Amino acid sequence: MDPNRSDDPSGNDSAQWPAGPMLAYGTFGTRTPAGRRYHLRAGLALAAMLVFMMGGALARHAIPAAGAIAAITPGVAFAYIGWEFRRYLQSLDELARRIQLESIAWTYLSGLALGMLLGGVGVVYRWQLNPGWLIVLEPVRACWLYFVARRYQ
Amino acid sequence: MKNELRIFRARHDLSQAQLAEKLGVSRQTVNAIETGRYDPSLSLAFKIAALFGQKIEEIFQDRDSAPG
Repeated sequence: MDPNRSDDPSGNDSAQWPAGPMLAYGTFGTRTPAGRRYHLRAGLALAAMLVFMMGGALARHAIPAAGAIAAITPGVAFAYIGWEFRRYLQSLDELARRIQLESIAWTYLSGLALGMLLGGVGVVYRWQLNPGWLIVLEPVRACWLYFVARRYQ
Repeated sequence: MKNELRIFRARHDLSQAQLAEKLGVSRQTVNAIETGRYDPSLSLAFKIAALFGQKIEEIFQDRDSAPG
């Protein structure tokens, strides 16, 4: 057998990581059961979060507790998604897990720099930024995932 | 670290996908090890050596101490 033989019918032996899911979702896609489970559960958690937030916001004048439910829903939803992501990480093989963890480390460092920048701007110009904007770290993580994975292909 | 994984894989007539399945890793991982872009963990290196019936140092060598 030719050791240089490509396994891929396309002739591509570079073992590409799936760029689409990495950039869109920050995962390696839904080709594995664990990947499908994470995507399904994260999607359901996000959908439930939107329903509870909208419902809570609409009903908060009539039912005071609804406002509190709407307020804590994003935190609960993202805590659950984080838990499911941890399970997803555990399902990955060692290189895929390493790439994910490296991308999280780079995102933390990028987020720290960005947070300090925005904090400085906020202090000087009295600009109050909603912490919900932390969600932009997810696309940042997805970009880091893409770039880190390229080193291993 | 350099390795002879590609050679041993060819000797055993295994594709990257088949080897990956036997090792319980992705094809990308096998490819990254073969091309020297990733050094496997000790447990995966032992698993590879056991699969091919070799000592670990016959497949993986330190780049500085390996002859040639």
